[in-house]
Parts: sequence; C-alpha cells; structure tokens
Amino acid sequence: MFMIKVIVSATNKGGEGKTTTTINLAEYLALVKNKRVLCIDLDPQANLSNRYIEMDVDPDSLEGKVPPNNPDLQGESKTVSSIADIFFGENVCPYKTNFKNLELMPSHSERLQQIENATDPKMIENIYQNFKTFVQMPELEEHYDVILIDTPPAKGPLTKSAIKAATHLIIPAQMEQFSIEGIYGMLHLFRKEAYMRDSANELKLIGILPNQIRDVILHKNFLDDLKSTDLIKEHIIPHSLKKRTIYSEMLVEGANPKSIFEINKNKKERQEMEEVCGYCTAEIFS
Amino acid sequence: MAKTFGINKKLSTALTETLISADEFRGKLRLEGIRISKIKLDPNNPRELVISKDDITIGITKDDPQYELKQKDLESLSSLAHSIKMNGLMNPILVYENGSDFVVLAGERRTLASMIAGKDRIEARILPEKPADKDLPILQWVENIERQDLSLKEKINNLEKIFAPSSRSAKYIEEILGCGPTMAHNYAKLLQPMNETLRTSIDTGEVNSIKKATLLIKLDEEEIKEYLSKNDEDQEAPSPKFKPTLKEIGDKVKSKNKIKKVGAKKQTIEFGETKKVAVARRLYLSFKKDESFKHEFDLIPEPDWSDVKSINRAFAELVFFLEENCVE
Repeated sequence: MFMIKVIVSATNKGGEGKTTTTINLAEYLALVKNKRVLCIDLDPQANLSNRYIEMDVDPDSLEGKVPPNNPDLQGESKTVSSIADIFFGENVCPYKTNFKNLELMPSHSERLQQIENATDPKMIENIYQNFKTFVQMPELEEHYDVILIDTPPAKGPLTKSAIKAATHLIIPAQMEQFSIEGIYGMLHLFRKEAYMRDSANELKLIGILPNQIRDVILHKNFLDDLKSTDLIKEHIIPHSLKKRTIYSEMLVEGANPKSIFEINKNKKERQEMEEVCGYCTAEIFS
Repeated sequence: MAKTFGINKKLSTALTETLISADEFRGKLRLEGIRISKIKLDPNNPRELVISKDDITIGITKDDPQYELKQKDLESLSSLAHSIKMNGLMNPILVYENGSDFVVLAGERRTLASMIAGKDRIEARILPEKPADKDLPILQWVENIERQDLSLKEKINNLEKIFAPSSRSAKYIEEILGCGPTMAHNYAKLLQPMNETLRTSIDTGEVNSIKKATLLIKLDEEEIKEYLSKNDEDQEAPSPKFKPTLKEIGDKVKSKNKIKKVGAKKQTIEFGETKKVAVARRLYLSFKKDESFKHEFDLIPEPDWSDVKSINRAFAELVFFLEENCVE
C-alpha cells in the first residue's frame, strides 16, 4: 500500500504549466505546510532541476543537462546523481536545495531521453517497475512526506512511469483548443491506470488546473464549456491561476524573493496561488 | 456578431465518456501475470475435477484410489494444455485476492492446463476481494453457463447452490440468471424432487442432457429403469446400437399423458358440478325416496334451497353418510 503521497503533474502538451505547478505546490508544502518534500524531475529538459540546483551543460550533447557534483557524495566513487540512475539499476542521492524541507532528484537529459525512447515492451515494463519500486522504498518514507514528480510533455514511458507510481494526478491546462486535447490524452492514461488499481492503492485525480487564464472570451468560454458538464466540472479545480508576470519572475536565477510564498501574504498573486495549492493539499491529505 | 469560442461537442463527449468509464471500471480491470503456485482452486467451484494441482506437480501414482478418474481428467485437459503451450491463453482467469494468495473464481481448467503446459505464471484478472457469498455462485454460473463441458450433475448442483428450496420458481430463475423462459422452466423442473432412479442416472452421467432429464422426470421409476435398461442390453450386444431418441421419450410421455393426467393417481370420485338448484333437488329427493335409507335421512335436515352453501353442506353430509354405510 502507498503510504507516502506521490503527486504527478502531467499533460502531453508542452507549456501548460506542469513544471510551474510542481514548483509552486512543492514550495507551498515545504514552506507553508512544513512538509518534507522531494521533487523528482523526469523531464529531460531539466527545467525543474535548474530551479533548485545549477545544472551543468554537457558539451558533447546538444542541450544536454547533467547534475553538478552532489556535495553529499564528496569523496565517493560516484559524485553525480540523477533520477535516471534508477532506471539503470544504480543508487541515487537527492540534492539539498536553498529551500528548507525541499530536496531534489534532478534530471539527466541524455540518460532520461534514452529511457523515453525505449520501445521494447520488456524494457518498458522494467522502467515502470524500477520507478515504482524506488518511489515506494520505505527509506523514502522515512525522509519525506510528499514526492512531487514533474514529467515531460509526452505520453511516453517516463510520464507513464510517473502515473503508475502516483497516488495523485494533477493536469494543468490552459483554456485553449490544443490544451483540451492534452487533457483528453491524460484522462485516458488516468482511466487506464484507474482500471488496474485496487481500492487500497487508488490513483486520485486532484483535477484539471485552469492555468494562465487571461481575461479574454476565449478562456472564459472554454472554462464555461468544460464546467457545463457535471462530470467534467467535478474534476476541475475550482480555483484557477491567472497569467501573471510575477510567476515567471520568480523562476529567474537570483530572483528575490525567490518564492511566491515569500512575498507579502496580502498580495493577490500569493493569495491566488495559496488558494490553488490549499485546495490540492486538502485533496492530497484528505 | 461577436466571435465566440468553445469546446466542440465531440471532444466534450469524449472527455465525459472517459471519466464515466474510469469511474465505472475503477479497480475492476486489474490484469496481472500471477504465479500459479500462489493460486488456490476454489473448493466450492461448480466444476468437479478430481485432479488437483498437486497431482500435476507430483504426478499420479497407480495406487491412488482415484487413479482412473484423475487420468481421465488429465486427458481431458491435454488439448487445452497443448493450445496454451502453442498460443498462450486466450482469456485470463478470474481470481480474487486472499491475503498473499489468489482464489480461482473462473478458470480452474485453464489453471491446471497451464501447469501441464509447463507455465509458472498465468494471466489473471484480479478482483480486490471475495465477492459476497450470495453473488459467488451466480458469478461462477455466469462464467460457466456457456460452457459445454459441465455435466448435468454439476449444473444441477450449482443451481441448487444459487436457489434456496423456497425460491425455485421458473420466473425467479429467469430473473436471476437472465436466461429464456423455456430454459428457466427446465431448470425449475430439475430443481424439484426427483425419484432415485433418475437422480442416480444423472449422478453417474448416464443421463447428461437437460432435455432428456426434463422428459424423464415425468416417467415413474419403473419406466425410467425400463428405458435405461434398453441401453444396458445394448452395451452387452453393441450392434445394432439402439438408443431411444429424445423424440421417442417425448412420445412416450405424451402417450402417458393421454391415459392419465400428470400427477398422482386419482383416488376420489368427483360428482361434477351444476348451477341448477333443480338438479340438486331432484338428486336429493330421489335419495330420500330410497326406503333403505329412510331412517338415516331423517338425521340430515333438508337444505335451504335458496342458499347454495346450505345445499353443498347437505350433499357433503350425504356423501359422508353414504361412505359410512355403503359396502363395496
């Protein structure tokens, strides 16, 4: 049985806010709720990793990001650790971050891409199994209350691994045509997984998070349309996130304050974010 | 006109459908390859294979009292085992979780045949828990109803488990099993008490079809014996083989019905009935005229001829009186 909470942010379309959702929820849980959080970056693009540690760039591979040396591994034979190692049967060591209660298992572009490209069914089955075994390790439960997983914009082995190991799924989506189709893709994965889970290990759908909403008819109509069906409405998070520059500013290197949860509590940007994260937290720990 | 935007109907329907089916089948489609060593065969399963998992792992020895039967089971499983070896299993078996083990709800033969085929694992659909006791036999029945290889005895045993003696009406059977009214009627008949001869011939497999059994049920013990003995004689002298067809049994039942109606032999005589008071009055008076009954007749008061109840009572007393006094 899953004891530790494993939350996956996923959708197969890019730019919907998967990484931003992971970051904000992770920081809310760590800073506001004092939960011990482990972030896992399964996206070869390594954006989540870059938020918390300065990734090295591998000169031999285009856009290949590799984690820097892990200070905790100083003096060991292996000084770099990424989540990709799990799929190759190696041990991993999480990185500490500048945030209290928040640690990171970083991406490794090339190695993760290798996993994402797997086509052999036996190998894919192994990928799923390895990741699930890792996430359910009792040692993890000793150190963390929540695991948050960021996924690549795809429906490949990495995203599926994450969903298979998850207790909760959140689908961030803009209220635009292609995004809705991305929701559809994720709901399909959710359905397939829900079919197979027994009642003790249910996969819960926290919901679809309406993201980057602007005051335009397009967004309003899409959201209204989605909500017009009771069953879909049930699965839409009742709070949405507006498109705000401040959310992007927080992600810039050296930003100060470095988290939305460090700005004044009365600011509506923070309040809006707290509403969304508060809702998710209630769902996760209910 | 302002331009409006929205989700197209098709996509919205698809989203809803996906969510509905996710909810409907949540946790019900867990498919896994499980170790056969972790599977227990359900002792209450309608199938009555003598052979067990151990017999296949350890082997059957000649000193086993059920050697012959087990050998027969083994043979009956061999073609399925062959097909599993060549092509794998078509349909996964159905099991439920019982601690760290699994209990088979449907697929005992497939499990045993997979073992014969040398498999360690078998594809299984896993239910998270044991279905409620009342649902279990129905579930197994439904899983097995289409199967040709269940004996009539196994079918009847299974029906007896599903339907308590007080609820064996054709209508109820039809409702629960969802079968046609004719089949439900046949099942209902087979669930009624039947004579020993027929019961034994079903147990031994001598009678193995529902149609035959429901026809034979109308014959008495002697007639069934007679019918079955014809087969016995044939076995001693196998050619030319005579096997009464269903039509012949049917004709026999029909001809029986012409002579006497279904049910126990009639022992009482009915006088018929009439609505005419005059008829009753005439009968009554003609008895009254009979000198030999004169004295006794005085004890029966004349009925009120305007009241049918009173007339009936009087005739009942009259018959009672005559029964006492008439010597055969």
